[in-house]
Amino acid sequence: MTTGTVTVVVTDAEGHASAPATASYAVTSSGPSVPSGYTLGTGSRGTTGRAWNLTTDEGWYKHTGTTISAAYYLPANITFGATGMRIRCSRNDSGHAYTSGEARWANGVGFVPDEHYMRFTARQEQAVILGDFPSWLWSRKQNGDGNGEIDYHETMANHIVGVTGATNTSLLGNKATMIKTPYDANQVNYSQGFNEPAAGTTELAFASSYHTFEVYKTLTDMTTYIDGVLHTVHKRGGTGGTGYPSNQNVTGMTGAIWDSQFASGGLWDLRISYQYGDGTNTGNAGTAQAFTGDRYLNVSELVMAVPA
Amino acid sequence: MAAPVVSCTLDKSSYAIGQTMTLTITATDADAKSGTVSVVVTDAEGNASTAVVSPYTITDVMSAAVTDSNGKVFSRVTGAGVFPATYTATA
Repeated sequence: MTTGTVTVVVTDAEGHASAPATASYAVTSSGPSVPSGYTLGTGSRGTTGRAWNLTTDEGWYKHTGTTISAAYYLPANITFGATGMRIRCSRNDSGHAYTSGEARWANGVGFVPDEHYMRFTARQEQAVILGDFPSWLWSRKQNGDGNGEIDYHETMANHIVGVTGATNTSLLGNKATMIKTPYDANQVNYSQGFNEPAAGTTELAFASSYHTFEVYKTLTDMTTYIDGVLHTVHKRGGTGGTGYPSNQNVTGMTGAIWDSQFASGGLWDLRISYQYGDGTNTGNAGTAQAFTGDRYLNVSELVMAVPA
Repeated sequence: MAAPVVSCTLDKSSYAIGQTMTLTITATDADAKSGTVSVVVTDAEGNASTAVVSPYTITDVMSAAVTDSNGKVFSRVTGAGVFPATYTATA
């Protein structure tokens, strides 16, 4: 395996040079790299890792139907090509305000074990607008209900509260590694917003560029790195992780609840979806942020490894 | 006269040999801005004209230099001076 770093310096017309920006990568001769102690093959627990080739459809289930948002899922909105999987969110006047898509790798079939390493790289091709609800990667138990759902990353415009604690109805936010159980009125959520916007600001910078998430899920914790930087650690029986608390960061998940959902041999399927405009969590496009043109979520890399 | 602020991302963190690497560069320059000039003419009696407004844009053309620790050559896909910019190379 070869590793490398790309360095970029931008200079303006007056000769002022930016500080260098860098991006690191690995090149392998035998497929994607995985951390030491993990494998893409059959691991010590009897489960198997996988590196998806997102330039072609390897058998993704494409859901059709209503969503909790203003968008309607259509399989035709999910395509595969040189940049990976793309899910289109489009304005539609034939019965639905918008259409979008949801891809499931193993619909209703358990695939992801409760100990795993997950890596995905994705971007929103357009800057976030009010109403956006792209879910870069999330999962549900094989029975499909929300108990034990893991949201590796979602962008939810109009959802994150600012550090002041007040709901910022015009703000844009991202949240990573949300785990929640049970999925009812007694729901307990653990989540972390990142780059959480302060009151009166917006968070546009995270969109449009690719970002790599790496998640290590064990029987006792779940650790997320974003672009190589430690972001969140959720611990069994803990009271949340690092960074700004968001309105989803509720304490109170006991060790027993954790064990029942995240350390009992359960299996999850994987989902990638793009919803739009649920009015509550994400808002709706208003006159100041009109929905113009098609919008895309682009997932370019997806790797799951299991304990070797 | 400010220096540009730049960030860059690759479309994958790990590539197989021969795969296309796509680099996205985002750059902003505080010197680039838009504004308006408003003109109101007032006569000796204090009668003011309606305002005439002229918008303007100040651009600051930026160029990117891309280097790689392994000597890979990244070629620009998008037009010169346009940001975000896309470059590609072969892993």
